[in-house]
Amino acid sequence: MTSPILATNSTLFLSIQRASNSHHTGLWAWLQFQITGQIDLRWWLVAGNLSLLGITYLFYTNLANFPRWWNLPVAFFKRYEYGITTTTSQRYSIYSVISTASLFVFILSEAQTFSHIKRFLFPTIFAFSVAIHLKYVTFCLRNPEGRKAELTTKMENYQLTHLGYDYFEIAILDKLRRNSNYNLSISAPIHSKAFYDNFNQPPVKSIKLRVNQLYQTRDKLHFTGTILGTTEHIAAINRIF
Amino acid sequence: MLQQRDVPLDWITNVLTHPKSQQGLIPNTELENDLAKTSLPTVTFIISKKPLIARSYTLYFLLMNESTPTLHPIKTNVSFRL
Repeated sequence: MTSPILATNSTLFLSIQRASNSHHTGLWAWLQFQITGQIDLRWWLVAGNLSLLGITYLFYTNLANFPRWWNLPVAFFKRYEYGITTTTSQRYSIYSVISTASLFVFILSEAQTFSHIKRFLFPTIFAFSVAIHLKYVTFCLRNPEGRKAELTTKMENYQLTHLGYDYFEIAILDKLRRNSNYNLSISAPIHSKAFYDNFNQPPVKSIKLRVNQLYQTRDKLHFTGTILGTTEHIAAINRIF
Repeated sequence: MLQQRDVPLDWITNVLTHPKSQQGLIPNTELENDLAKTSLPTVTFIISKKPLIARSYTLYFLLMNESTPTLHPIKTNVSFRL
């Protein structure tokens, strides 16, 4: 019932509903299907963005002992990092808003005890959030490309293993590409000339058998034979290795 | 390997990884020799007739080695009708 896309979007609805059951995803899909006759991801994205307003509102109503406009930085912390249409960006924004709100609540509770922080806290956080939103400040991951490659290879390998085909692990292919071994030139042949000739002209074209016994019963076939000229053939085959 | 006499053997495809049971049958000669208590150069096998659906078969040898990717199948002089 739950496809990966639906499972990703379920976080949006779960945050609204405060539900902990992942089967709600299927329920939402079913509900939309019953109402409109199709499952459209775009409406889920719209609902996800509306849920951000809901979170901001929740934070707004729970701001005790502080001016209400203090939740402006929380709203500004939302930033479309990977594009507006992907489910990843939805998840990213909802997590960032929630974490910022919780961090903000923590800082505010700390500011209750240290009142001299209180004066500089709001302008600092507000300036910081606006700077982040306008991309003057960027958080950098350590080795982001490496992490991305690692994650995507894990995902791709998972898909490949479950397809049921033989495959090279993507990590191996990626390693080959990075070390430019795809274009590796071989200066000298690895095997002898006889080895390569074998593919065009087999050293042993036929083997003679002397049949000692060959008969069939109702369900079995019995065969006994002796290979003639063994030593020549073995010598011919040995030449290619 | 027992290969249908009228069907040309496709030796480009690895018959061990992609066995075409409609075309041929590969008895494990080493195992069959052990069961019949014979040894090379004598080859003995007793196999079920069930997968042998064609009228006539030819015997081939597939020589295998750990260091070689493919060896050409070697045709023998033995053909028989069922």
